[in-house]
Amino acid sequence: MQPNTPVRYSFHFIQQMESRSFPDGLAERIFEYADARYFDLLHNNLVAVKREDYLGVTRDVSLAFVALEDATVFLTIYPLKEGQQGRRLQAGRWVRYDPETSL
Amino acid sequence: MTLKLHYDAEFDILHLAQDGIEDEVVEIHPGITLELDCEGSLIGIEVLGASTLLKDSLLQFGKLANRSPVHLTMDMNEIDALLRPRDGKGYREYFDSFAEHDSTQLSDSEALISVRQTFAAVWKQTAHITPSY
Repeated sequence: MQPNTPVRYSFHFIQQMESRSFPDGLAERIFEYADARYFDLLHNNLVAVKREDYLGVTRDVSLAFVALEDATVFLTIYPLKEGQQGRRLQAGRWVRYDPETSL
Repeated sequence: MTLKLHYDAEFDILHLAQDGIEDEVVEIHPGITLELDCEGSLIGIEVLGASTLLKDSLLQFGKLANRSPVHLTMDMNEIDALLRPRDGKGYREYFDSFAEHDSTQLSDSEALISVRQTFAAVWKQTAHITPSY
């Protein structure tokens, strides 16, 4: 991930935000203050996960994004089921990602 | 309620949805998630890597709904009827019976075949709409 690259929203993400009424700033908060970041081996994109108060319940919410050379692009956002984060790690689909080292 | 279809060609994402608050997503095949509201009712289908999963039919959607959502005359009840498990289970039970598709397994599952059939039916309904390209 390139540091300080501008954030861009994919066409899908913009449509999703319109139809789903996710709280303003949720995606940016997850991206900026994620509890964990992963690389999704299935889709070759990055995922940020943060525990958030969403619909009155505290739960993990994930943001899928790609880090291009000139921009970070938000792809999609969705709440995770309880334990889903751990299962994806265990299954090897998600691997931990450190933005400092890109590993 | 209006059903909208769009395709993000840049990132290969197809989305069929009605407006609503998303309470839960159920991944029925790697890359295919059903979006459910707080009552467990279907409000959307998101397909990541759509060109791989949906193959030829996606070319049509790509021409039709790229960069501009298409409003369909179908409603989510019709989609639900096409997609819902035949054994009378709800999506949550369906999901649980599948276990978690968090592997990278991409072979054609029963769920994937069902989704392909659903989008084929959607395509038939949209065939009269003029592509936006």
